[in-house]
Amino acid sequence: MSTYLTFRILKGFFVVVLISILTFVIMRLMPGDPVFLLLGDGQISITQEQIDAIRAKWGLDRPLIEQYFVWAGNLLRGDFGESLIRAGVPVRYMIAEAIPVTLTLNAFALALALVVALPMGIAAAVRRNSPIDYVTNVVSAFGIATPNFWLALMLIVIFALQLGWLPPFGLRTWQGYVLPVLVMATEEMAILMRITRGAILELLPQDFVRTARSKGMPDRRVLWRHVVSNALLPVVTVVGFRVAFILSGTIVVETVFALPGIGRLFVDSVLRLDYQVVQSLVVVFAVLVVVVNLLTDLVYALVDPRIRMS
Amino acid sequence: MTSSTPTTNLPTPQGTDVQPRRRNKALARFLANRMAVIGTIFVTLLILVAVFAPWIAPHHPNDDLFRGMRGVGPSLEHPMGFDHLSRDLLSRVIYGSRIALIVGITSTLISVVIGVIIGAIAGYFGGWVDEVLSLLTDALMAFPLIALLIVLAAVIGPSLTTTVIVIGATAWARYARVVRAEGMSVRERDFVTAARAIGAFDARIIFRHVVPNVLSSVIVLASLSVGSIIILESALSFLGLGVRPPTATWGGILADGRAFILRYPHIAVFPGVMIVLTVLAFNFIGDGLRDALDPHQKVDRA
Amino acid sequence: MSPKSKEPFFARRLSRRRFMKHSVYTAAGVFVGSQGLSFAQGSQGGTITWMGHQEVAGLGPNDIGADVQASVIFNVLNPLIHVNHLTDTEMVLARSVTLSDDQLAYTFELEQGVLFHDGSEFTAEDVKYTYETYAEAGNTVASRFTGMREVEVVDKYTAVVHMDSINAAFLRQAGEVPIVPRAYHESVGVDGFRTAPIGTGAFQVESWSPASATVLSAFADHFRGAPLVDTIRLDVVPEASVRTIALLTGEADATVWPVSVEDNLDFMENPDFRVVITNWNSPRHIPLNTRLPQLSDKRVRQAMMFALDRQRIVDELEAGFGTVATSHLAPHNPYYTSDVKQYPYDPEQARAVLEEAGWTVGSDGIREKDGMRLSFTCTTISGDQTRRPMAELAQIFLREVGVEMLLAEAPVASILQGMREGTLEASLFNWTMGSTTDPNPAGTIGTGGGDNFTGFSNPEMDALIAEGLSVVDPEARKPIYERTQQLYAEEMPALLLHYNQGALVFSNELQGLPEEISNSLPIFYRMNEYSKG
Repeated sequence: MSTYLTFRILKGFFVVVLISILTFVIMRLMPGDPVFLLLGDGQISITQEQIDAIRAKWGLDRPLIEQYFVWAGNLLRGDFGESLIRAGVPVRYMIAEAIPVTLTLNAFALALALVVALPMGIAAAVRRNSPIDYVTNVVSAFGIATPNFWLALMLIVIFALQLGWLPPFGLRTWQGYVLPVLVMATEEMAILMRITRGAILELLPQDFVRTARSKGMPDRRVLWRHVVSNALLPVVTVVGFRVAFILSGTIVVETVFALPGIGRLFVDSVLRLDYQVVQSLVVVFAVLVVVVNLLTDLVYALVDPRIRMS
Repeated sequence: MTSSTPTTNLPTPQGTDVQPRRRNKALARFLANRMAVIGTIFVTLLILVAVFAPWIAPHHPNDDLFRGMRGVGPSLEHPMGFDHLSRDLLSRVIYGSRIALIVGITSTLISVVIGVIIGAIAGYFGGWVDEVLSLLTDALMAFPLIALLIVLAAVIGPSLTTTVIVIGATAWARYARVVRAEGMSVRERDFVTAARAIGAFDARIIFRHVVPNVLSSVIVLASLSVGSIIILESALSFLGLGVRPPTATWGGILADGRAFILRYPHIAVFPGVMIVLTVLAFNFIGDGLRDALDPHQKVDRA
Repeated sequence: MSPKSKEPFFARRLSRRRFMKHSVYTAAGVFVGSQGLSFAQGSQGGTITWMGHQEVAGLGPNDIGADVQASVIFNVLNPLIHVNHLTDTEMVLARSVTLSDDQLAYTFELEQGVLFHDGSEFTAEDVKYTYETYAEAGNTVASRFTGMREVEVVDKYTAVVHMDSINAAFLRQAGEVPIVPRAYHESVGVDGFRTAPIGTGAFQVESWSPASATVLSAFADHFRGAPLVDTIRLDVVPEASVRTIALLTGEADATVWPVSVEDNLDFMENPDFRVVITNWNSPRHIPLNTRLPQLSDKRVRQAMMFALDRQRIVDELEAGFGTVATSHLAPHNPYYTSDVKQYPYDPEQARAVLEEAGWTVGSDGIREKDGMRLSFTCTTISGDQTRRPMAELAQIFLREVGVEMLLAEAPVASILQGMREGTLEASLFNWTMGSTTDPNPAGTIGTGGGDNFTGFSNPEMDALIAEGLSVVDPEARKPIYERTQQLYAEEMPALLLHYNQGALVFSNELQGLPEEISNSLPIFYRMNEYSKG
């Protein structure tokens, strides 16, 4: 087990290194120069001297390889560098400020999704082809098929403008969380419903379930003791797997609802060529995904000894 | 995550000779699934609309301007009304189906081809080849797809080709995983060892024995991913990184329409509805295929 | 296509809401009225909220270039002078300014007894420190100080700026750079200061979350008296339609970045709101990379001007707000002249000019000459939902006469660099053509100018620019600048579209706004004068 663990951690480390190189290269390939943004909206003239001074200040005039190693070295020491655009603010700070917003939203959305998806998924599988199965299918299909920015705008129009129940943007009060969480939970819910339903459908015809039932165990108990507990495993896996999608899910939602989370920080930074921020964010996320994946695999290995060999 | 790879069907000894019978049964099962059939009909109609768009569309999607009609709502002659440049929205939505299908299907095909090849090679050869390729796959999985798309679209400059190639080149990891597991199991089998002993080519073994065995799971995954790619295209348009104007795309019309959601809501509603219906149709087909090809098979949708 | 379909979809429901809102306000009004007397002096409490579209990346003098940031910063920091909402020069920390006869020395008499937020007193030393610090290369505002040699501290309340060369724009450019307290700034540095600024403004920073909200609280010892409200707050809301909804629901009182033209029309009919319409200083235009072979012939550029139905762009995309542009300077610029070559919409003329220039229609409908297609790419700003549709319309008009203009989108930083270095072919924006006061012809239309995005190079123009800059008297300079405009209209390095108008929406909850407004951004600089209804 410990060699397996060491191996996995080593592999995870290489994944992160690979991603950091990839991001670094891609960001530098981007046409344009952040220096021009620092100079403002162009109403005033700029001189080459001014540009050179700014480039030198940020080390943008050094060779690329050197820039990479400086950055990677600092990163290993926990120093994410400083933002080009928000000069004076350490990137560590910006990320630390944005992460709680995104994580809170995702945690609520995930909790909501689980609370809805698990019972509905179970019910749909147990009563296959019944009305509840149909409803579940339709709800989850729509959840997957609706572009989230569209859904978000529609909800704002209905709940903020027409009904006046909820604020149209921001997180000033708890009401502000309702709509963004709802939008994010919709897709999550749809996916989890499908997984739950599928996992249970797969377990129902299996031998140990039949055995338990033939032994006279009440159906309800069989369901909870044997089926649901086993079906949770793939659900856990998918939840872990969805971590990689946190960023994609929140970019749009955070933009529409004007929330200062990771997703918006990322897009804004890409569009402003704020290298340090983009690179650091991607690496932070890569680490997060690698760690979560490792944890899910460990959970799996603990529960199901057959997998432990790899 | 290797362990979460969907378990594919139990290996059949000869790989191919049971297939025809199974296929017929599968077809019957698929046809019995009402939603899947409806989905198939919808997609077929959509393909026809896309192919014959120039004959179906009442107006030119980009060039026909109707003076003073900006944002005017639906009417008999213009069932979907006009967009923010006073063009006929119906014609644009019709032409938009082309892009939706091209992006959805072509990118999926590209990613399937890459994924199957990489997965099969990794699984079949094992060893350091597997390690390197798995590392690449893991890295891609850990890299949020939309982030990669945003950065790449910004680097290369957005266009239809960019969108298709970038999505195709980044969405293959999940196929690689499925196929890799199959490749591993095939490698261990006696007839492969025998084949290799008598000098059969690796490529031949891969294509004869690995690929056919994973095809059903790959097809299911692929049909489900067409929908999510169509959604992805609209998200890219939302961020201003989608297909270039004036090309009519649903995501693009939707993204443009959001600024006018209070005054001219129809601009955002119609393409939105089309996206929802199309993605639904592809998902129903995917579900139908999954149930038909192997009723017990579990496929991670995520 | 019944006339009804033009009516806003949500109109009926809205009006009911509006009615409800009215009745609530009337009730509230009575309540406030009865208490009003006791609150008439000093702070009336409350929070003013306004919205921007981009984050507030910093709060220092270097950050005043972006509108959203400026709307916050000038409530915290004060400059010596402002160009105010009437486009007049207004004294702020300066009591008076006099210019020497040789135009090389500005003498500022300063306000006395002004306190910074940390309690220290504002003096001429702070002026000297601020100007000399921010004039150093590497600062965004450095070029505002062009021509400055040094600042001399005559006494505690008198500072003299000595110039090496005449810079007619100096007062309005440098004068707007806000003053920082020397001692504090020296301890935190430029970057430290922009994250935690201390100034003489009517408000001090309470919390700053760049991507979401900046909250400022009243500074009671402000030299012009305590503000009328306790708190002001800027919210960052990227989506235009969400800003509209927030105004309608009362979540915010104003927006410093416009909402869509359509929503503006709705607000104009809404008795709860005031829409302030002002002219922009620089026309919307399509800068063309004149270094490209297919765009280097001025006849091609002229033909494109004839091909554009610019009135239609104004009518359809700006709801009629704006006028077709003739000169690169705006009509309210003191040097503006309309006596230039005109380009009425005339596709026939456009075709004729192109034929004459040797561009003939090829097999795909696009013109060709010597095997080269008359095609170029116009790169608009990513997510620019206001201007990109203009490029889309222009694209259709140009195609009509056989010119292919492809469209692309790119981030601002890419466009600025690409146009400047000639790697992009065309764009669509409003930058650079002219400030409220003095045009900067050397930078924008002179050979090799820093903001010369078209790569335009014309010896006659360069000679005129040099002549203009050497003439001190504005009246004497006017004929020279009229000639540059005529030459520009003849050469057309950029396709001039229209002089557009900006509309900003204010809720009537916000009371005390100036009656007359010709320059909208400075309205946000005086939040201390407004109260909340």
